Amino acid sequence: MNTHSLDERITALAPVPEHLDEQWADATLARILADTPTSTKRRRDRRRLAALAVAGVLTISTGTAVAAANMGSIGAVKDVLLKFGDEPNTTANDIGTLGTPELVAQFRRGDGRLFAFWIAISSKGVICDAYSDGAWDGEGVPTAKQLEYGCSGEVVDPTQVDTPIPLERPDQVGGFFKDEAEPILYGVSPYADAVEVHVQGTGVDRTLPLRADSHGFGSALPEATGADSLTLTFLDRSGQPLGSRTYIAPVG
Amino acid sequence: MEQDRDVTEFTQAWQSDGPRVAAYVRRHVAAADVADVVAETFLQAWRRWADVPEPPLPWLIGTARKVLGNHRRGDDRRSALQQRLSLLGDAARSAEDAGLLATERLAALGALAALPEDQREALLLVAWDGLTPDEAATVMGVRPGTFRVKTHRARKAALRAVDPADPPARLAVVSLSTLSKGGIE
Repeated sequence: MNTHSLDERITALAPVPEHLDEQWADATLARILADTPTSTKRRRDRRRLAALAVAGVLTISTGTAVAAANMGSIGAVKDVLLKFGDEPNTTANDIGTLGTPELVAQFRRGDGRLFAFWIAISSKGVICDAYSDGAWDGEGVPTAKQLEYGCSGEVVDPTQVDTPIPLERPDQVGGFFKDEAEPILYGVSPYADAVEVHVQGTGVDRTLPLRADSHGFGSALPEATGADSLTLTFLDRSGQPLGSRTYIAPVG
Repeated sequence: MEQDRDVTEFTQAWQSDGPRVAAYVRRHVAAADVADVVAETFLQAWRRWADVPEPPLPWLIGTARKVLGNHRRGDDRRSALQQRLSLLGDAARSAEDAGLLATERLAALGALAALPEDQREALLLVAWDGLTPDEAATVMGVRPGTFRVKTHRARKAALRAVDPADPPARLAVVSLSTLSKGGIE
């Protein structure tokens, strides 16, 4: 048996929804409608306000072309995360006030696909993130369908995949990923004074700048196909090392 | 007038989505408890109707899931494998209606019952409740990439349950779709 045939069996077993007992349904509906809604907002107006908020973000993102693109993207990412928080039962519920997202890394892979990753921290210290890996081409602003996003979550150490660690700090995000033909590296410096990071591993010896706002970094590493891990040394403005970390590639 | 429109919309949701919510609930609790959970779910929906997104079904199932969570905390007997198998068997189509052999039906339901709850939920929200993967991810409170990992693992585990010869998945696969998971030592 293969997974396809098992999928087919499971799908075939999908129950056919049965009509509710008419007498019970009528009585229960009447009882529910007799209750008073706690929210008096108008349902359709709420959606229109959300649309206006997006338009507002686009309107205020003026300035240089690059700055406009960045600000627009950040506003769009925040809007997506805020809407995610409005949905019931999501990881973005009850996180306090969402801070402004910051771009951690944005770069193109060798095949031209754009990778971009943002994080935002809430007033309760919850870390939310959003990313696009090829779905957004960098033109305009990313849409919700072009992003993967969520809040809190867990970090997996590739050497201990069965014991995930709660995501509590920005410098926990990212890693060295080799599950496609071209490896990539991205993350956030744990050192506030660092301005660049020296990356070394089998076939890899290069320095990446850190973003001034998020302290993030990232790049495609086509030369890293033979590396199973990378050593990252974070350097301050005078080139002095502040500390190092080892990033191990997940196997994939 | 606004109230009239809300009543009309809510009544339509009750009629069209009530049976679907009931179908979801039926595989989690005994038949005698289904009506209570459905009624509580829609009562919460009515109280927050202005906040319920369109279409309402994913929100309703997400709320039913919470109501069920409260329900199950008071009845841990439902965690037993036989109990799960019985609930799934009651909820699923018959072998004849599904076009399966009885043994095939039982094997598939057994595999589903043996899955960890979140994996079973991930599979069935899509396969049985008709939600899109993104809607199902929202119901479960996880990001879409994480949801896809859950369903992938569920399929592999279910397949191993019905065919032990199928090799286990590699343990250390972490795809880019789970990007919140870094690789930091």
